[in-house]
Amino acid sequence: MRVRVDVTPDTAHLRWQDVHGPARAVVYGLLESRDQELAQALHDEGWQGQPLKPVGVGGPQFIGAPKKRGVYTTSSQGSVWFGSPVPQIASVLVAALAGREEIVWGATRLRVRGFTVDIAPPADTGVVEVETATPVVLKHDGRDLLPGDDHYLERLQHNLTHKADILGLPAPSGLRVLEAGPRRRFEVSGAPRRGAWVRIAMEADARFVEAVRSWGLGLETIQGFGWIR
Amino acid sequence: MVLAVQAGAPNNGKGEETTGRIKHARIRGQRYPYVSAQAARRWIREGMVERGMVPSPVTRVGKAQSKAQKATTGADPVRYADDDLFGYMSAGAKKDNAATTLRDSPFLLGTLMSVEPVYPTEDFGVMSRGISEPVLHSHEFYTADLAAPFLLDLPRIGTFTLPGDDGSGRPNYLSQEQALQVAEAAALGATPTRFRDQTAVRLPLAERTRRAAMLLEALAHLSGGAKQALHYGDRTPSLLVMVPFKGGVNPLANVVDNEEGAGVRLRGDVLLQELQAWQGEWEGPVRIGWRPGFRDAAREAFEKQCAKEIDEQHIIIDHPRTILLSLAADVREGRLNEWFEDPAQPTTP
Repeated sequence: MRVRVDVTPDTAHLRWQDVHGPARAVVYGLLESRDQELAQALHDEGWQGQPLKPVGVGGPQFIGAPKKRGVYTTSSQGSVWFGSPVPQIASVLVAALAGREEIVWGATRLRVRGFTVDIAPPADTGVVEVETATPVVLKHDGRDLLPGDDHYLERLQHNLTHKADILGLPAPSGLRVLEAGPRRRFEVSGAPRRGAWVRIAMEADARFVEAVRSWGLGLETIQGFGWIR
Repeated sequence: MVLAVQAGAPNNGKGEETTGRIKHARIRGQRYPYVSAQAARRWIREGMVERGMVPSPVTRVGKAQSKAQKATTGADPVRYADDDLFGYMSAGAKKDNAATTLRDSPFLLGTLMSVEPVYPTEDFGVMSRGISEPVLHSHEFYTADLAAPFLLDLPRIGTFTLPGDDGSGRPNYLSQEQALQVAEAAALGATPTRFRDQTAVRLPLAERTRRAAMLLEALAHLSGGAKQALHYGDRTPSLLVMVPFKGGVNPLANVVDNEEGAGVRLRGDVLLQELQAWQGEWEGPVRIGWRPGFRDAAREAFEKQCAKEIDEQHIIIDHPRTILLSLAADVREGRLNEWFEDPAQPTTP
């Protein structure tokens, strides 16, 4: 399940380190406010004995933000997305958002106008296309991968298969990258993250498509990477 | 469904002094006793509780709290199957600016009305045991076959619609209460979906089928009603006709009627014509529950009219309990899962 939270920022732009930097802390803050035990367990151990955290975030995006070179400008029409394919986690996230008036996103305060469950048209089992709104982070031998690099498809397939395993769903197959955006680099807690947005096609079970919509593609989804548009 | 009341008074109206009155409607100058849908729904609900369902708690406020009197359930259809199946309305007071929440019932039931005019008997009673001045009292009772239509909207069970945008393009955000309900549903594994052009969350199919099966099982064991100490009687349906149908039309509206002087009958000719007219909208077989010994002559006539369809198993007849329990088992074990989705609309060429 994923939700869209509509927000109004109190700053005219986000600092670059605040595009992805605060996401993880915001998620844990939300989880902790409703279920400290779950937040702690997810933080320390991951989910079901796997280090992956089945949580996705779509960082703040602003409709009609003025274009300004080198600046992540904002507008009053902003949205942040949160999701998890795990019922327990999704439930705590939604409950934590109920009645919440503000989300502190780094140096910017986001006033919450309201939130709704974010629904996609029903996915059919078969070949589907998904496109990310944020860069996808993948690694091979400690090195960040970009679309077109050796091992890119293999690591993405591995990531999706691993996610399907954790959720007990059939893994997708026939993965292809149809389109990719330019290389992007973000600093998150002092560490660089590199990646690019992608549009991919895969043959997948409808339940898996719905699950990755609430989780994201690739690594560091809890930091807002790989969020599906 | 038809309930046969034999010398009973299962649902009473407002009494007059020392006289208990049955509920009746006056149609073309004649009296037709009835059992209100509210009463029968309560019997079904209580049957479900007897079979292990946790009921939604009811709270009452009234004059004691200086408020208009009203009784509401927990209004939590995620947690409570009865709030889900029977709906509710929890009206918030305008002066407190409290929200009104409501759910339309996916289980619809008509008034269980006598199929023929009946004049109730007024039973005169005297309580004189151990007292010198006897107390006089009286009450009405009757014998009648009561028939009512019912509908169970299966795709709507466990499906909870959320506020959509109000047409002005403005998003309609979840209230705190709704958000907590969505959170509760999510914890049970509910998934977001589009349902009848609205955003909705839907409980896992296993829970939805479990709730539907529970209702059918409660119908198979229906009991309850007033005056049982004096008029103990059976309340399980004596006759029941069910057909899976797309949409809310009831093709069985005229299938049950009254044969003058003989009581209820099932019109095979009407049933066959209706099924023909609604071809493509229903799915066989038509399930008929008929208690042995109930209106034998009418059953024989019906079986003769529909001999071919019965032979070909387009219509199946058995004891109502057997029919309901086997349908409940099919639902519970997932053999009828496709009934829990709205049928795809035919595309116009």
